[in-house]
Amino acid sequence: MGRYLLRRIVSLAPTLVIVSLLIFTLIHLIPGDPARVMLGDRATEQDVERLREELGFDRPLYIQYINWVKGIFRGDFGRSVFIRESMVDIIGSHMAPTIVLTFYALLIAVAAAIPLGIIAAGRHNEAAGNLIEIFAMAGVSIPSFLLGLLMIIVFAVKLRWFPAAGYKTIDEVGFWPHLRYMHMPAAALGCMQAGFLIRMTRASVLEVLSSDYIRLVHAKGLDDFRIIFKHVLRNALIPIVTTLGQSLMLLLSGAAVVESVFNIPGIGQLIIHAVARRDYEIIQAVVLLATIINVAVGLTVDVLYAIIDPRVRLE
Amino acid sequence: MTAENSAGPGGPMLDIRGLSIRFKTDYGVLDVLDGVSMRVFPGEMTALVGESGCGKSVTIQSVMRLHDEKRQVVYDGEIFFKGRDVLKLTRSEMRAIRGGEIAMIFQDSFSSLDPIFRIEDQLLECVPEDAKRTQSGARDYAASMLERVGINEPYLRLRQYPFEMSGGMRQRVAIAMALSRGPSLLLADEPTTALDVTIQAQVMELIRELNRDLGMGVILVTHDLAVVSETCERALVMYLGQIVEEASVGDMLDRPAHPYTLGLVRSIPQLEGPKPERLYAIEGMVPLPGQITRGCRFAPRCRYALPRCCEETPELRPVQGSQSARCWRIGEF
Amino acid sequence: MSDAMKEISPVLRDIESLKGELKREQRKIVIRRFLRNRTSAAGALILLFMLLCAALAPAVCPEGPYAMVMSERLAAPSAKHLFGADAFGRDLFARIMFGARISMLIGGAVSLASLASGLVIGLYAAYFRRLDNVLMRICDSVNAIPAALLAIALMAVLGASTANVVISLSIIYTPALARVARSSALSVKESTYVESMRALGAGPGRIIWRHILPNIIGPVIVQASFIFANAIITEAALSFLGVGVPIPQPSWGNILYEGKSVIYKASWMVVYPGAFTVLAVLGLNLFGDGLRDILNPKSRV
Repeated sequence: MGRYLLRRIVSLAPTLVIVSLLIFTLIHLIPGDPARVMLGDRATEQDVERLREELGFDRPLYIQYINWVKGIFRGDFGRSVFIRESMVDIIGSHMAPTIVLTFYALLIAVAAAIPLGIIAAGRHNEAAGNLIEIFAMAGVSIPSFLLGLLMIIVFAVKLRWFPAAGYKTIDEVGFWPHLRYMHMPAAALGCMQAGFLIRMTRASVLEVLSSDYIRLVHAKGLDDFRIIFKHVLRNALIPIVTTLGQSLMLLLSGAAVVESVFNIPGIGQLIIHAVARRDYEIIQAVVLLATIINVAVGLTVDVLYAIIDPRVRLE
Repeated sequence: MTAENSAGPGGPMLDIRGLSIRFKTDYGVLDVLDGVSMRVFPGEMTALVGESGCGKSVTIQSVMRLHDEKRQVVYDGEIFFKGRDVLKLTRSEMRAIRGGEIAMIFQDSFSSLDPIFRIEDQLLECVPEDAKRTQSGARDYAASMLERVGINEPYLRLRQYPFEMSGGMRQRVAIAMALSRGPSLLLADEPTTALDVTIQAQVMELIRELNRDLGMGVILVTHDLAVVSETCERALVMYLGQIVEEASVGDMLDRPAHPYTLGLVRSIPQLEGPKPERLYAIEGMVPLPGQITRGCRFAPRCRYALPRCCEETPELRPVQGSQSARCWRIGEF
Repeated sequence: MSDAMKEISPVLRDIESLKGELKREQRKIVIRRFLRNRTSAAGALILLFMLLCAALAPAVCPEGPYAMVMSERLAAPSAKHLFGADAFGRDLFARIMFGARISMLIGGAVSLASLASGLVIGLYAAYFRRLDNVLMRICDSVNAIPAALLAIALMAVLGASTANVVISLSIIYTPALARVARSSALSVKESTYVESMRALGAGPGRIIWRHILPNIIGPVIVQASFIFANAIITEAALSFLGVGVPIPQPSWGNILYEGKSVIYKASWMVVYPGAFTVLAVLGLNLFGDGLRDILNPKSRV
């Protein structure tokens, strides 16, 4: 187990190096003088010169890259030109709602998808199974931001069950009222992943059900409860767990868009405002940080995978 | 004949009468078995022989009603096990028989052991309730079962996963599982096909020994006539969902009555005697179930077929002694 | 041509022609199955409808998507404005029809571009072991960056325009296609057939493009159809965020963005473009699903 984990971590190193290079080059691809682009045409030549020096744009690219990476290891993700706060504070305050939204959506998706996927597999030639399949297909075909807009029309404008948009932090209003602002966004965001996971679970359970080892446990005379909950589910869960990492990443990605539907001040909003202001330092830092989170999630999933599948752990 | 007298002393423990099976699939109804009858006596080892797809596995799996778990299936006929028709049992009665009185071993022990549980977990599921009262009692029982099938260091093996074992070892584990509740009937579905030749002999010897020592009835499903000739007393030959010949193994090998059996016997490679030009092969391919609606099902591939064979369907007729065959030309070749 | 090649070339020709026949036969079977498979037929029908919308937009809506009638601002759906009108009094039906052009254009261009680059990367990675490590690492790295954020960052750097949306989305979706191409190509590469071609001295280029490519085209096309669907979604999302297709061009995402601010007054601004987006994505998903079932009947239990 320890060796497996170590190997996974070591193999991540090149990925992280390439990611940092990609992000760095990306931002420095901007045609023209980045300092001039940031400040706009009306800025004086002196202001531009000062910014250029401040951000180190006057030095060779590879030095800039090295300094940037060094900074990251010190916890310094660069400095916004427009917001006079440390980058960690800026991103930290915007990351909180995004993380809450992402995990709430994952919770909704998993809680809905796994039971429905199992039912769809168990009744795969019956009306209930077909209905779930149609629901899953619809789920994967509705973009989450669009579903969010439609939910606003139905639940906020017509039925007035939920606030249409807006956001209050836990500190402002406490946990449960805070979550009230999150129900609709999380449901909208989770729906597409629920669709994917339903289909995944269904296929996985069906495959396990038709396997030789399930035939053998039937031949051993085990009762249905033991067969389903011990042998079928544990085996069917393995491929599902491996896709959870991908789900979480897609949710994190989608959260950026859904936030803008519901005016939630998360990293999606942060990066969109940064794009509007051409605040490239923020864009760079947000993308890098989201990627690191993503990689960490992937690693966690690998560990989970090893825990439930002895073949991975021991081979 | 009633159920009672078939279960009497000296009678067969398993008596399948006119069993027909249809599977309902997305593409329509599939006829997989047609009027199969067979009997198994205690302590007897019966072979069920035929090409793949002929219905051998379907037949023995229907004894445990395993098809019910996977697909929509229609049974016709009767399967008496110790006087009770298993086709009339409820699910929970069926479950008590499965693994208890009737046990099964499958062809591929790699895919038929659950990959993510230790041998211990899987073997303990088969340990009888009274041995399970204490944890160490159950473990000891499981270990003794492993020893019974010739596995050394059983306590070590109990902690292993299936993928950590060799194929022969896994098949022994599968046999240990099958034996752990002392079944009176063992259904062995090509138990040695996936194994090396030397391991094959060992596993067959083990099954044979258990059959002799414990007085278990055994049905051995195989396409390997060499194995049959070494281990079984009686053999049934199947073709396309029908029994085409039933005989003692000696009769079947010496004077096969059905052209299909003749083909199977001739295709055994001979070590002694003159070397033939080439190995005998039965021509053509096995048709799909339901493709042949009239006449003898083997007729399209039979070198002795007459026009009559394609028109009229032959029944299973006695040949000599306990031998019978489903052919219009019995004794003519 | 080597001597060995010359000697067995007639045999090879026979095999080739037999294979050709087999291919044609297989193709016929695939087409027949495709038409009988309800999923893929429904998907193809929807796709056809969307392409028709895109093609016929100028004919059906001669005034175009920009004609403003100030007196009809936010007019509700009626006989005159089938889907209503937007905040500038532009006919929503016309904007959605022309929006289909942008969605189909972007989706099609992105799936073609990722198909081309993904195939090159995947095939060469599969064939040359040295390249494999490098290429797949780069693909993994691109995949590790959350897609929407990468798209936003790319758009920020490149600037909002339809062409740049195509470029950004192609970068994002190429790794997925490369993965599929590579894994399919790896299994084909191990086949005796390719081994023997290599033994006969056929060059890598010839083997890759003439012999491996035709055998992996199925799963690759399936993947491309899912990329088409995802590109439509992501384009709409980017435009909705204001970093995709620049306004006033009539992209579905742009209409949804404008619809968001009038959601209390004019729900049709969200409902109609939304319905078209869902329909297009659904069609492509059905199409891809059906195609996958046809090519790999085992996946459909």
